Amino acid sequence: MIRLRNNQPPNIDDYYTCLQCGYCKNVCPVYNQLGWESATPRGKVYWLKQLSGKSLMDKILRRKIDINDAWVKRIYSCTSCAACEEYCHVNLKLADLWEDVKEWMLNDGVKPLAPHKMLYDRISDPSKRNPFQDDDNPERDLLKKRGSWLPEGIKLSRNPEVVFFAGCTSSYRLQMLAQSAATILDNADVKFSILGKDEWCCGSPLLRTGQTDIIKGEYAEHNVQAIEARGVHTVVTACAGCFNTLKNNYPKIVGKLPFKVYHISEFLEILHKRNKLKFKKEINKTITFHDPCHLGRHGKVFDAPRYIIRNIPGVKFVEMDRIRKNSRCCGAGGGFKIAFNDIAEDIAVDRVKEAQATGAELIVTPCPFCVVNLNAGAKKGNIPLKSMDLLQFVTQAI
Amino acid sequence: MMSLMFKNTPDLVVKPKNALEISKLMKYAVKNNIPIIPRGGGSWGLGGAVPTNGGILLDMGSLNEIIKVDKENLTITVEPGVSWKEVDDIVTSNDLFLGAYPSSAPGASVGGWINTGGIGIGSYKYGGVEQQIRSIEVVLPDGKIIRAGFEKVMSNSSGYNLRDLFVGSEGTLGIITKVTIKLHPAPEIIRPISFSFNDVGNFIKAISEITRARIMPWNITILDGNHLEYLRKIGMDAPEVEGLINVTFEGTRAVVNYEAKVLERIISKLDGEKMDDEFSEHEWSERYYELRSKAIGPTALVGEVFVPVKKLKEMFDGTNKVIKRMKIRAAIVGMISDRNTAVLMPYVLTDERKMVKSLATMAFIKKIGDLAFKFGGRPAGLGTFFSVNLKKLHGKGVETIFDIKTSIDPYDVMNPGKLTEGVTRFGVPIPALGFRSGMELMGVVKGILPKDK
Ligand SMILES: Cc1cc2nc3c(=O)[nH]c(=O)nc-3n(C[C@H](O)[C@H](O)[C@H](O)COP(=O)(O)OP(=O)(O)OC[C@H]3O[C@@H](n4cnc5c(N)ncnc54)[C@H](O)[C@@H]3O)c2cc1C
Repeated sequence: MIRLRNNQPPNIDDYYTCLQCGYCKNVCPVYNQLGWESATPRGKVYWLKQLSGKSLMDKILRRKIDINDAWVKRIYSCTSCAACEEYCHVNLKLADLWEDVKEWMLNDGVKPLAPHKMLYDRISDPSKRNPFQDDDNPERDLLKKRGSWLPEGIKLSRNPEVVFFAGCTSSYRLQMLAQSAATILDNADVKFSILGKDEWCCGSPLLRTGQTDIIKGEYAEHNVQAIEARGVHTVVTACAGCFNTLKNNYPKIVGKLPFKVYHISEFLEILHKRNKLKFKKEINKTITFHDPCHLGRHGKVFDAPRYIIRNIPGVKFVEMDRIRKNSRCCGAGGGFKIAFNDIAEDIAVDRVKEAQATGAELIVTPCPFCVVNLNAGAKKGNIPLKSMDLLQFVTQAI
Repeated sequence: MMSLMFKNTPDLVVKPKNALEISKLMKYAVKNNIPIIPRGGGSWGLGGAVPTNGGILLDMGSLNEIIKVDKENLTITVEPGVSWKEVDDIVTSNDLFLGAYPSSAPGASVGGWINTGGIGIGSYKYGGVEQQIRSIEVVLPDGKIIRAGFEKVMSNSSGYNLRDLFVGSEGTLGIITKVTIKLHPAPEIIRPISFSFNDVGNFIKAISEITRARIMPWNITILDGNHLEYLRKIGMDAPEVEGLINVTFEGTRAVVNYEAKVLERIISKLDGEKMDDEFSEHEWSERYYELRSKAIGPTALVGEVFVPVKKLKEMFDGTNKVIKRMKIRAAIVGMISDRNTAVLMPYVLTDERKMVKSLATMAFIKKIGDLAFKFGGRPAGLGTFFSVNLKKLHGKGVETIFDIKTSIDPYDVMNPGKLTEGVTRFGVPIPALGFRSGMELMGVVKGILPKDK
């Protein structure tokens, strides 16, 4: 059992406001897999209420209300998809609540889960500042190489109008995504630059897992200043996680941003409408679209990626049952996959099945994590349906 | 307080996989005299799914398979843990139609609504839960698994209606493990229309006239001025009026258009104002969210009473008098669930952290129950607290009800402490008289306290 210095969890009024109606229960992807009430948002709120209202009565009745390992595991059993918030009867800001609760627990001496601690160690390492490492040479300075994904022949503007914030995954793992984005921006004559070694992890994996200190204390401000120093008013990112963090978290940390944040899908829509982006090749396929939670429910971007897909000649676009605000999580988000990969993939199996029911030949989604997890889910569920990042898909059409 | 009286925490939670497992568990429970408490979505307010003296809690959420959509016979067969919203979603995507569901559909389970004998959205046209189901599978306390009702046709005929015995039984007779639900062809359109009133008298008169007109709305929801004020308080867009009637039609376009016209004529004669389509659609999309403004409390106590439509005026006046006398913040929302039944859900906003104040507020629920009796209606639901009403509701019939309970569950393991008996953790019954006078006293106390802001 973990001893807490201060037993008062955050946002106590919320626990009393909660109606315990359970609307959050059946839409919770983790509850759908685990099936225990303790995994539901309502169950967690109930426990928080007991924690915050511990009294003599608990002693008399010998009720043990405490933060133990099982409870910590439950709190981390969350993909931060925010479906609970969407359905909440009494408009509780549940997505924020889960993050506040994690932050509170860690501040009070609870240890983060091991995989999350690993993320923290790498991101806080001045020679990395990202969640990845070179496994053959863990000591290697990866920060220096942050911008090395940039394809030869693409000239960065000295006088940019746009900064492309590549994000860690595209910088180090799925470089092809960053490269596609840069190529598209270049083809459309957008004057853009990148941050190179000045681009640090946006902090999404740490903010979602309650390990907020360095992001709130240093990283957010660093990234904002690095962007500001390029003199731009527009930032474009191809990662749903970076997008949500820059757009929604940074203003809470550093105040109003001196630039506007776009997801690449929104920017592509603008370019297409200005005739700067043209789709020259047909893609004769039936496509369905998966809304990444951090782009959709969190970022409120639903139409732009659909606009892009629909405008590619040859595409037959079909929707799944649960889309947009009601979309179903792929299972990867919020540091969940790295800690509970099995359950994350089971969640993906369900989502891929839903996509399969539409008759689609391909799932397109603008988030690298969704792509990876949905493909893992398809494999696990033995479903012959692949997922592809929107950027990769668009590249095939130009 | 509650936890002193009751042992609310179960000794064990079981997630059953199928009826057979439950049957074995029942036999074990009987042998060892262990209470079994079925729990569906846990959304019912009267404590039905909460143990009163420990035992095994059966979490029916694990029985959540959609077994079959039968288009030929217009049914869907599901396990009881599936939510009504999920049933409705699947039915709709199969181009069929579910007649009625509780307004708690996203959280309420199929088994739970049957066991609370509910009425809900759509009941005006399609009846209560018993009219939505064809047959059920039940595990009895002795472990027997029976089917009650008929999967493809009506249950009506001579002979005891076994199926309906379990409707509203609050999990005290058996565990429902499978349900076949009756469906309809999909309507051409669903059309919500909202009307607002600046005068309470006209608001109530309009409700009454709608029920007497030869039109058949699918659903009628009513919201009073206080409710709308609370919605504005939490930043929602609600008109500053004395009452809102939300009527929803479904069916063939031409018929719906005609019925809407008749309705509009009734409303305009009573100075009601038709709201625009966007507002009406929004009200309809809010149909699951009656307690949006709970944060103002942040505790809400909700009552539920049935009153004859023609006594609505008296019931509203009486309730508002109680609200004034008790100096509480309360509002009335409701549904009209057949031509003569108004189901009102008056709710009080209070704060459970202020013990005296919130306990005293509980008297409100009892008082509106009394008003309902006075006007020829009744309070709804028994559960743990209101089982004391059983006698008042059924008179001598109570003995028959006890006989039924004893013959099906002679071991008293099925959800003890509910419906037929209000019993605390020490087996001490909640005395009806003590309960009533206690509640009265609390009401007096609340009236002495300062007014709630
Ligand atoms: C916002 C809100 C709106 C509501 N609107 C309505 C409404 O419109 N109409 C209405 O009727 N009610 C309404 N209710 C009350 C409640 O939601 C319903 O009664 C609902 O049907 C209960 O279902 P549940 O699955 O949550 O049941 P629970 O609360 O889990 O259980 C209710 C009772 O049924 C028993 N039970 C549950 N499952 C089984 C089973 N499989 N076998 C045997 N016994 C079982 C339990 O033991 C308990 O006694 C509302 C509640 C809320 C919070």
